[in-house]
Amino acid sequence: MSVAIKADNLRKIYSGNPPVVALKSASLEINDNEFFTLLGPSGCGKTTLLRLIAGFESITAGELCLYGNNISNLPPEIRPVNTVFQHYSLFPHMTILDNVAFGLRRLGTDKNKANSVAQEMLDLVHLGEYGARKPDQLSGGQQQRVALARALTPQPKVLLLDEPLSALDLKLRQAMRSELKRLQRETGITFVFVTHDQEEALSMSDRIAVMSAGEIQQIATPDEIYERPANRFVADFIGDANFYDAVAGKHKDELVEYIIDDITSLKGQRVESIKENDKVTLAIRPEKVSFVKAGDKDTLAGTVSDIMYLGNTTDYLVILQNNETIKVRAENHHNGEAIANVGEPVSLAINPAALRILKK
Amino acid sequence: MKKLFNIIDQYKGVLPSALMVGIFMLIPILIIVVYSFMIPNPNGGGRTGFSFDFFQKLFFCRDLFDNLVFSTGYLKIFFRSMWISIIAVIVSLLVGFPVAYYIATQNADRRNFLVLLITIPFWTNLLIRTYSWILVLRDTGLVNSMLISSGIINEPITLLYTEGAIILGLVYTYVPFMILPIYASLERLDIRLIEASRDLYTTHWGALRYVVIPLAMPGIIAGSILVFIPSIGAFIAPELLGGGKNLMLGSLVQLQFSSGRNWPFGSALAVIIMAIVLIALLIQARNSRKNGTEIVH
Amino acid sequence: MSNSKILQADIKISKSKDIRSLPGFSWFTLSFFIYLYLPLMILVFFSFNSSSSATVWEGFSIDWYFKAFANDDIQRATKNSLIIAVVSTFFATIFATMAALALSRNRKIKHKPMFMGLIILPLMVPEIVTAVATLTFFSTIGLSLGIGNIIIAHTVFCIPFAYMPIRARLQSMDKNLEVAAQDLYANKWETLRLITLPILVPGIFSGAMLAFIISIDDFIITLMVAEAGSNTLPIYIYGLVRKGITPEINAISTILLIISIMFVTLSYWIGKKR
Repeated sequence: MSVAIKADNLRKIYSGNPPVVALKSASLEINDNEFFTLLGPSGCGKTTLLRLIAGFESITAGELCLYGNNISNLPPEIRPVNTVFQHYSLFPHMTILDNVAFGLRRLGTDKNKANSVAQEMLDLVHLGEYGARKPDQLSGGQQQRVALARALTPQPKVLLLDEPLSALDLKLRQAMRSELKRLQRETGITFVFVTHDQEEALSMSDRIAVMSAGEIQQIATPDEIYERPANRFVADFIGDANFYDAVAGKHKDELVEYIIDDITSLKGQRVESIKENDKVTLAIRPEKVSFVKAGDKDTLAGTVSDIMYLGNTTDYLVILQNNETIKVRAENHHNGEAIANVGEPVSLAINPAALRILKK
Repeated sequence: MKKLFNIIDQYKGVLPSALMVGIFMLIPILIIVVYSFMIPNPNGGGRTGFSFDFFQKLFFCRDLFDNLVFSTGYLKIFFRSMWISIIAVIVSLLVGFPVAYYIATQNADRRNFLVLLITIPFWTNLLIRTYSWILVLRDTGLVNSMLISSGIINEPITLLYTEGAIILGLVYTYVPFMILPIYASLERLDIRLIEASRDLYTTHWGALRYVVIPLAMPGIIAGSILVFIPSIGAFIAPELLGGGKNLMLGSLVQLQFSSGRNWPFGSALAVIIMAIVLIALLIQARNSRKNGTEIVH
Repeated sequence: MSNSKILQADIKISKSKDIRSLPGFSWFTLSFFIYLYLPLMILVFFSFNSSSSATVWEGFSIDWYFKAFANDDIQRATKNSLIIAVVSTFFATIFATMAALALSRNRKIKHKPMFMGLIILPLMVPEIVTAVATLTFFSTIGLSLGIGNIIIAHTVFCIPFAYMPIRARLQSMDKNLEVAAQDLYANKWETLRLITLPILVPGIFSGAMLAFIISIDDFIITLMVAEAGSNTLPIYIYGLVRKGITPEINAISTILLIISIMFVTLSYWIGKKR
């Protein structure tokens, strides 16, 4: 598998007073034919990284390679990468076909050839009949697909997508997800996708880079990101989690006792790099906590303080004996009755394998 | 030399405009500042030489025996100009605010249409617009003939060639300058603020008093200054509707450069107008800086 | 029974006013528009009067228009006005377009606020001051080009009027369009030629219209700067008004009014189109 994009300590500082550090230092490798997602909250540097790859911004420091060639200083019109813009940015004074053929024409392809390729591409996004229209005669979803076709027509090595679905409504967004996946499979082009929507990222990507505060926090497959978050930020940003500060205790066999306070401790797996008395943060997904019968071994006792019904699941807030709160998510029974009521004493169990231990 | 070429290359886009305005506007203004300190030449133009002649002329005149006597003639013109301009601003505000408010409360299509209606006269010839009021105001004009035929008066009342006519003409020509900025600040006013104030027990006049007017203040100040600036230097309205009797600064300046042939004095008066305008612009700059950020937010 | 009651209640609700509307404001606004347009309507109305009185109606006639068209002085003044307006508009629009492009797209230019201030300076200085300053300047350097002097003065004065709509259009334009063009392999010139300028055309057109109106309507600056024999239409009208009021003035004024209104409406209409 060859590497499509290799970024080495990329850094971007916007000059100004004071200067803004948009990207502290980013290193990553994106593989050929991969659907790669940059995920993070707004202002985390994901769009900056994308614009650096596209060539819209100049690199402050670091190196950027495309299939082994250093492209750090190339202007956007030379780079064989194309972008799908957040608000599509279709040229309003041109027809759809002219928009889609634009890139090939600028590359010197003659008009007939460019138009026929553009037409094929329009067919591929199911808009073959709309070539003669102007962008403002199309719906948002259609414009979105034109923007995709326009960026794909010159057959770039890498396609960059800057939150392309954020302007669409929910149903359309969900439909476009599988459409994008399909296009990526059919064209075999490497996709770099920027989003702040974790669901989008988890459902489409081969791999995800979670970013925060101008840095990459973790690069991994979607299930790894969810099941084994690298740090507290990732665990918190993706899905829900309960967090507790704790100290590592002595290990018995493969399990370690993590001590939260005098009366509460949790058993979890042993982590190589963590020694006895190290301070750690424990992360527990709410759905990994289960209600058990009182009196079982290794349970936590508490009282239900609040219940939130969420359709297929219900969230229970339970106050433990040490006054900490834990959120428990349970699937609803088919009869829709709650497992416990507010004020009811309950016992909880946490599978040691589900306890995520994060170094402080 | 090469450096100069680089600079020209870098700035070539703005250079034509900047040079045109710089040479034919900025430099001429500097020249009249210099002129205002010169000794007048009876054939027009000015002689080199430094004097405060204009200053003397503003306050004194020469009597039959060539002695300097304190005279209020020019001061009167100065204060009349200020007075008339301020009244014009106040009347424009009283007329313009309700209109701006009404337009801002209409739906988008109607709003655009009404704004266009406001701007059309503003783009038509100032001279013709002022002239049209002569047809309305003169002794045999529309107002007098209507009043006479309805039997309210027997003799025509003098409407033309009064200060009132000048104010009317100024308001007529410059009230769009008042309406448009007020409209702009009212248009982006969040209607929920009015709802909130009504919810908290104000009447609709109370909402106007406590919510709308305070939020429209930047527009009101901007509008007032935009009306004041052209009024203080107005030439056509005082000439045509004041009949040259009620001189204002603008006419006085024009007079010095034509029949008066006292360019230094005319330049000095022009510099005075500029100074007043500059003060007004500074007030507006402070106004927009103070409120600009809050509004954008 | 209950159905009709609900219906009545619905009607009441639908008739209830916008929470913002204030009593009397609509009538006031209506009166205001009458105030704004009535004098101009009277002027147009009396331009069709058959008698020589500009205020007493004696019957319909278009004689005054024929008289105005036949008048040599008016023809000469009209020709001057048109030449001046066309030439100043041409240069002002080109300069303004260049300036607007440079100031909003060229990152290398420093002191942008200063340049912008300079370009809109003619809007801030009272016309009478501009007029006498320009006169003084021309006489100081001894420039005497006939209507050339007026053209220079008008070009300067028209630059900001042409500049504003072009700049507004540039600012409202999606900056990513140019970025997208570059991403799709267009170089700087292709981007300007294929994307920026075509999208800018309505703004340029709008600006040119405004510049043209400003030039053709200008009175004070022309009055001061004009030399003998280079009268424009407004100057000619002013001369007539000072002598007395005749329907002929109304006729010429009506023509000028129509030209202005036509151009503003056109400019507005083009500006509104995407």
